[in-house]
Amino acid sequence: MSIGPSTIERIRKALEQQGIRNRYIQSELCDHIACDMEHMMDQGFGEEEAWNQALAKNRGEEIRTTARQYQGILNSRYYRVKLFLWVTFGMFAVSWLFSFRTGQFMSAVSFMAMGATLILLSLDFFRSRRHHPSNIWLGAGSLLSALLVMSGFILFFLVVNYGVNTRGHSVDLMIFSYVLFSLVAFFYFSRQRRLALESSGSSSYKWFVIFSAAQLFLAVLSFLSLPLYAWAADYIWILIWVILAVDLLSLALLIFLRIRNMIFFVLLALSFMITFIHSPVRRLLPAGEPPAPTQVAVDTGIDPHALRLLSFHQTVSP
Amino acid sequence: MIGKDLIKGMIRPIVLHLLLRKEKMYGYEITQLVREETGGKINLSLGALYPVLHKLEAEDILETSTEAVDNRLRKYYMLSKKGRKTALSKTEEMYEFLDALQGFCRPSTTRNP
Repeated sequence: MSIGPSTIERIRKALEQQGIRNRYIQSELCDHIACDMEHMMDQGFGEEEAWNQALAKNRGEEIRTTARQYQGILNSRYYRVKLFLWVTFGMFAVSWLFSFRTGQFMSAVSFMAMGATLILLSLDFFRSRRHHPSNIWLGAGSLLSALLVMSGFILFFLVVNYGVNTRGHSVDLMIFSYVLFSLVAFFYFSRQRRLALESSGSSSYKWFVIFSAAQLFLAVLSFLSLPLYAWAADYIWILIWVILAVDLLSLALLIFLRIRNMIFFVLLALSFMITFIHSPVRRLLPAGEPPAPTQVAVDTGIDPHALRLLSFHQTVSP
Repeated sequence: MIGKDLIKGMIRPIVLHLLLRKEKMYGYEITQLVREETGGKINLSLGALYPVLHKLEAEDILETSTEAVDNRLRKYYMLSKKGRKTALSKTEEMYEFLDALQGFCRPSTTRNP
């Protein structure tokens, strides 16, 4: 005899009342209690009686300790990702807030750390390929995104410090990375939400699907601005401001809603960092000097569409 | 029924032994099978079983997969490649331990009255 969605929801709420909110722990314990109820009902108990007995058996300090221990294991699994993300964002903030005259060396390190964070996530996807075969694709997408963002920043670093003409490919590579990881995040959250709906569970994935869809939309717009640069040049500043605002707003909403997800935080950090270094906002910060105007180089000799965004520092001559 | 303190150290080999016999199992299924096969003498509680399963998963001895079953998600545990080797050696160790214990507890015929 199987129990209905309303009883599942009732178990879920009972677990929440005991402070068990993590969806992985909740769904496993929910299944255990539901099986216990079904077993009792097969033996002739009524649903209400089975509910009372199962709940009495599976509540209290024992179930809370189990949930706490599992939370500890989950935290340690993402410990390295979390650590790398803090290092990434910390170094990125410091590199623009303080001018060390080291030619954005720290910012380069922070982008390498971001690449390493994405590689760690991709390894996690590959490791959990047994859960869902599509994790292989998500892992490959994260890995490619890592390689693109790292190589993109190396080019940016060469432009900024040595004036090397990279034909705007630093922007291209970083935007590819942004599009790819937004796609990974959107696909991941949509899948998780679909699974949560199949189990009739309420889910915080709804928010992550909305946020990652917004990020994907903005990433695709950024991507389209590359071939359509001639047409979009005057409006790119709007896109930059919108992306920065969406990043900050999403972060504020997540804090307000008290929901967390490491993949989404990585996406936010990636989006913010890529957009920020190409925005005029950086010039307002101490390490944003000397000013870095955006210039357009038109290479009419090769390809009519070869309009590239070149961003480099101009040395201020006395 | 056997007390929790005696069962505690045996949960790990019991779980591994069961997963050697059956390819994949979920938490409640393990508790039921252990209860049935021991005639109700070993009763694994939720608080005793799941921490062991999660630890084995974290040590890459167990792999998991999730399936939607009857309006809810069910997490299945199975042995990984590395876990199969560990399970074989742990099961062997469990047999040795039980033999030793049996020999220790059985009234010896050579013992002086």
